[in-house]
Amino acid sequence: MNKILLVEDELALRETLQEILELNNFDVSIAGSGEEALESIQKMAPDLIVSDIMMPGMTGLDFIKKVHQEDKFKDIPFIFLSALASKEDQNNGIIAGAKGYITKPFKAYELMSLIRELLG
Amino acid sequence: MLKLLKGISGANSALLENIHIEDSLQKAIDALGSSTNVDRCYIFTNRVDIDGILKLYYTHEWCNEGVVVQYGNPDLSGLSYDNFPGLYDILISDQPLYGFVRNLENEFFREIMSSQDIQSFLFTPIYCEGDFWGWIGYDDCKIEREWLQEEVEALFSVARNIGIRLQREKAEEKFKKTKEHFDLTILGSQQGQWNYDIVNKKIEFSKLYMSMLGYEHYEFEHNLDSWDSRLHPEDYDRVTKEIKSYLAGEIKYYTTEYRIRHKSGNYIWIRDTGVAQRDENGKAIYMVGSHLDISKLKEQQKAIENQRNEYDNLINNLAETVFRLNENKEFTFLNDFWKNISGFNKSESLNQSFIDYILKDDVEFAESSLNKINRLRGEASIFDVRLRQKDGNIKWVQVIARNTRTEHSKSHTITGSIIDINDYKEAEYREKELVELKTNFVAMASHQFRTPLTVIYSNLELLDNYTQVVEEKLANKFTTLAQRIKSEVNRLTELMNNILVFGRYNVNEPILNSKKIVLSSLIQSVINNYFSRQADGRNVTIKGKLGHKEFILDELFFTYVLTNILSNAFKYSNGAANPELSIIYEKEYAKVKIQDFGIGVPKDEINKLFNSFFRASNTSTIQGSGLGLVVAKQFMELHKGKIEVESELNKGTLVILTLPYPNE
Repeated sequence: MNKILLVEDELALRETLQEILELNNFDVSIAGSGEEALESIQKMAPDLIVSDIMMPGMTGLDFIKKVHQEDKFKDIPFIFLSALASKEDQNNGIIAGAKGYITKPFKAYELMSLIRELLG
Repeated sequence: MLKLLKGISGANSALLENIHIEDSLQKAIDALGSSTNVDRCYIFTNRVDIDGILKLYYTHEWCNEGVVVQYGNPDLSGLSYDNFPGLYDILISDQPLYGFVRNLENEFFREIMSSQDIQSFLFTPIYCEGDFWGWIGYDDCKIEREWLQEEVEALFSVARNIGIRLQREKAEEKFKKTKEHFDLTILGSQQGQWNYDIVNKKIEFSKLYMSMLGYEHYEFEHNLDSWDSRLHPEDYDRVTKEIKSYLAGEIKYYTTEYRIRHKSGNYIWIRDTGVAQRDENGKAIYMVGSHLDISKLKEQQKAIENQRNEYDNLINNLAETVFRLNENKEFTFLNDFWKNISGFNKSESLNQSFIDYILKDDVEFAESSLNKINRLRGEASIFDVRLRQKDGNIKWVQVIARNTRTEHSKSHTITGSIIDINDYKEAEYREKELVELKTNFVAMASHQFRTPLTVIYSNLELLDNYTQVVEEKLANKFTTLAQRIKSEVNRLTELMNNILVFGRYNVNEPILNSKKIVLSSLIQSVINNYFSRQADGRNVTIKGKLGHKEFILDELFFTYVLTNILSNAFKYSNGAANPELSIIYEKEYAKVKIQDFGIGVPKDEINKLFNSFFRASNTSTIQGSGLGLVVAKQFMELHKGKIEVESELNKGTLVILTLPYPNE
């Protein structure tokens, strides 16, 4: 079972997404902030990370940099989920190292097909 | 010989006669010709032509009976002495030249003479004030006359007398000219004279002096009262003081200007200059002076001054700075308004570099704008820069500058004006800030909507998953309700997207944030980003090649148009084949064609598609805002393009986006 780390500060969305991912047979760990996520990543070593960008404290962009700095995590694929919908914001996400960028609001199947694509 | 002597005396008296010089020369030649019994007697006059070459002119002639007249023969005038070698050398040494033509050594000379049947000749030079003036010639054509020494000498002396006559003529001419010049000077200068006998307190005014004041010579008494009673009261003290100082030896020269009353009652302007004669103690005893009427000069001066004042007023009352720069871009002229705009006095800024007054950030731009002027051929360079004021504040100004080539030099100077546009720039800046604020607010607000919408939608999807475990009837109800909520969420999302774009559009109207973009790349990225993960697995089919042409596009606006048209193409063609996209490059426009194979639009409703909130009658089951095409049309028009729709019910819809090529 693939392990996914979900980072989202909004509780309602975090729980909803967790449930959707679990229904789709993923092993899901959750974090409410980038700082919290950096801790859990050490314990679980996820196969993929889904993260919000606009969060209090560390932003998603800072978070991905920190993760990719560590050699053992540098290949973990990232998907950003963000309300920042402009082309520029999407480019910034990809430049920061994300493999996918999905703008809110999105439909579950969009996220699922992207995750499956990235996990092969 | 007696006949000859008589002729010489006749010639001499002709020269002494008080008649015109030309007439007396002719008379002399006539007398000499007839008395010498030659065939032709004549005068060649020397003249220097414009090239500085001494030439001969056949100016006077006497002919014996039966001899062909040569006077007026153009071949005999304007000849150079080079044609007669030896002639000049003899005559210039003030010697007569005579002999037989057949004995002449020079062939050319001989030929000319013999062609006129001349057999013997005598030439006597004429000198005037030491200059070789010309010569008299005597030709014999019928016989070879042998000139006697005495004859030659007598005739040579006549030539001398002619020289003396010419000399007198010249002197007279000179005197006449000097006199004329003198008279003209006196007349032209209009100087009236006055003589002041200081010891006896007697003064005398010249006729011209009197007439300058409008009086006959005797019309008022020649005394000091007559003069100072006519002085202008405003000038009186100053002028009398000046004369006193001069007479007392306190000042070296007396020359002054004042107004004096004319007979008509008007005042005329006088320039008065005087010189005093002093006794051995230095006491002035006598003084002479001249009056010059300078009223006209004063009038002209005043007119010029008025003109200058008017010009200065005009320049200085302008509500803009007028300036001139030399080649080093230093101010050589500034009007008064410079102080208003910069806080600096004119004198502080003259000879200072224009660039020194520009804010550092704008210096490069200002310099390049000024340098550009040379290439503008008289057109003005207009640019906005920030000026550093004396008090340290910054002011936005507009500079309008053009080249002026000064008349007397080849150097280029720049003239122009500086206008205060600070208020305008500040307003523009505030406006921009406000626009940004609005845009940011709209963006912020719409971002805040996104997360709750996601939560709602995702939970409905979760709900779908659980319908399997509840009773079938209830499950159906759940699905229906969930579907209804979902469709409303979709509608909210679309509205929000419209507001986001619309918000930017409205506040920025009609500014396009355009740049050169390869149309096909933008289309590809829109398809990849938004239409590559359709729920039903469909895709956009690209027909033909998309090319690589660049267009001037606002990326956000055009992306909006494309996503709107493409999502319509999917939305209204559920279950049908892939929508197709192609680009056709025509002569003046490129056309992006998007074809779907869906439900189409009823024929009579096609025209209403671009009305706000209109939805076609066959779309009631498909959610939409009724705004998409309205905004798309406006955006296409902002790009100077258009949008057209062709549709057939239940067969499909073709949307054509037309874009102009960028102006090269």
